[in-house]
Amino acid sequence: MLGPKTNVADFEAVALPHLNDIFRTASGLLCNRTEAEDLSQDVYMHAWKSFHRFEPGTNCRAWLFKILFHRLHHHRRKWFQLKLTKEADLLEDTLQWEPPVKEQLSDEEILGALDKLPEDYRAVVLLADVEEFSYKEVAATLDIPMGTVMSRLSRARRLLREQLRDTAQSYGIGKIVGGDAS
Amino acid sequence: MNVVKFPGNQQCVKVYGYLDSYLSNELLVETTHDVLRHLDSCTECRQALADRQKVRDGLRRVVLAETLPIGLETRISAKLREQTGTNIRRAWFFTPWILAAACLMLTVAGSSMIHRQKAMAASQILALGLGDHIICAMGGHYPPTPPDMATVADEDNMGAKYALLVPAALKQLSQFQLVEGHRCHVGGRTYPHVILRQGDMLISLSLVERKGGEAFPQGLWNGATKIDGQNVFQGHQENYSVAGFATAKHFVFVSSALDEQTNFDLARRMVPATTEILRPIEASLRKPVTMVLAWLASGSFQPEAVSHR
Repeated sequence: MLGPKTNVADFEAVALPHLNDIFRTASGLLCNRTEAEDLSQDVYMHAWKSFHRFEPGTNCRAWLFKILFHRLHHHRRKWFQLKLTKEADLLEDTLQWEPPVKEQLSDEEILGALDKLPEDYRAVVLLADVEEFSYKEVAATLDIPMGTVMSRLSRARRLLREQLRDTAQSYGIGKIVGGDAS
Repeated sequence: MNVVKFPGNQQCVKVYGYLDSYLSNELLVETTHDVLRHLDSCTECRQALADRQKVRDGLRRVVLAETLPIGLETRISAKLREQTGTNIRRAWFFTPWILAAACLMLTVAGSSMIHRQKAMAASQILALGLGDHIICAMGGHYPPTPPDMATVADEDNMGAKYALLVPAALKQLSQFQLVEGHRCHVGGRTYPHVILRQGDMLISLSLVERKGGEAFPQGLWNGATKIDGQNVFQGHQENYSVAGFATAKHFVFVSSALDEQTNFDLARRMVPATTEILRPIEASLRKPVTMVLAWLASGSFQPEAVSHR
C-alpha cells in the first residue's frame, strides 16, 4: 500500500472519469436525479477521504461502486427503515414458459419496469447488465455471495420481462406461439 | 425445481433455463453448442432468446442515456478543494457563476422527447465552455496588459501548440483585441483559453479535451447548424451566450454576453480556422512550436494596448 496522497488533482484524474457511471447507477437505484446527485457527491467525498488506501493500478471504478453501495446503505439506515427483500416471496424457483415481450419497448416502459424492481434486484441488474461487471465483481461490490448474485439476477431479469410482457399475446390475442404443452 | 406450462419438447426445458447464461457468454463450449443446435430448430426458444436480448438492449439503452447534471463535476471539485484548502494555479471553483451556468438553456425548436434529451446532452457540454468564460474571463483573471506571443506560447500559458489560436482569433474576429491567452483549470479540466475584447465586451475562445465518450448529440436536428462540415450548437443563460462544436479530440467554445445570434456568428467564423489548427495537433503530425516561431519571425503580430478593467 502506498503512503497517503494529498493531491486532489491525482484523485480527480483517476476518480472523476467514473462520475457518469456512479451518477447513472445512483439515479437508477434511487429513481430520483436530485437524490442521486447528492449521493454521488457523498461518494466522491468519502472516496477522497479514503484515497490513501486506494492502490494505483487497481480497479478504481469497482472501488467507487463499492463506496456507492456502502453510502447508499448508510443513507437508507439513516433516513428510512432498511428494506429487506424477502426473495423467496417474490418468485418461486419455477421454470415457466413466459409469454413474449412487446414488439416495441419504449424508454418509459423500460424505466417503469426497472423502477418496479425491488432495490436489491435493481442493484444486481444495473451492475451486471448495464455496467457489465462480472458476477464476482457484483458480489464483491454488494458484499453478498456469488450464488445470491446469480439468483437475484435471474429473478430480476424475469421480473423485468414480466413487466414488459405483450399483454395481448399473453391472453391469446394476435400472434400465437405454437408448441405442445409438456 | 418445478417445470410448468411449457411448449415444445424436453430439450426446450433444458435450453430455456440456459438462455440468459448463453447471452452472457457464460456457458461451457459444449453447452453452448447444445443451445445453438436447439435454437436452429426451435422457433419458440429463438423467440424467447430474442426477448431476453431485446430487454437487455433496451435496459442498457435507457440507463446509459442518463446524463450527468450540469456542473456536478465542477461542484464535486469545488467541495474537494473546500475540504482540503487546495488551490492550483488559475483554478477557480464554486463561484455563484458556475451555478448560473447550470441553468444553461439550449436553443432548440420542437419539444419531442428525443429533442429534449439531445438538448440536455448538448447543454451539458456547452456549460463547460460557458463555465470557463464566466469563471475565468468574467472573473477578471487576466493581466492588465495583453501578453506578447512568446508569453502566450510559453508552456506555462497556452503552450506552443495551442498558441496559434491567438492570431487565428485576431484574424477572424478582427474587431476584437487580445486580452489574454493562457491555460486555466476549472472543474478538474484544462482549458486553452483566449480572451478577446471590444470595448467592455469580453469574449472567450476556449477549448477542452474531450473525455472518453463525451460527444455532442449525433445527427442533424433542430439544435445544430452545420458549418463547414461541423455541427455547431448554441445555448444561452440569462446574460450569456455560448456556441460550440467538437473536433476529433476537443470541444471548442465561443462564449460572451453578446446576443445569441451574434455570438453564434463569431463561433461560425472560428470553425474553419480552429479546425485547421487543431487537426495537426490532434494527429500529432506537425511541430506547432516551429509554426509559432515562424509566425513570430514574420513580425505580423502587433497586439494593441488594452487598459486594465
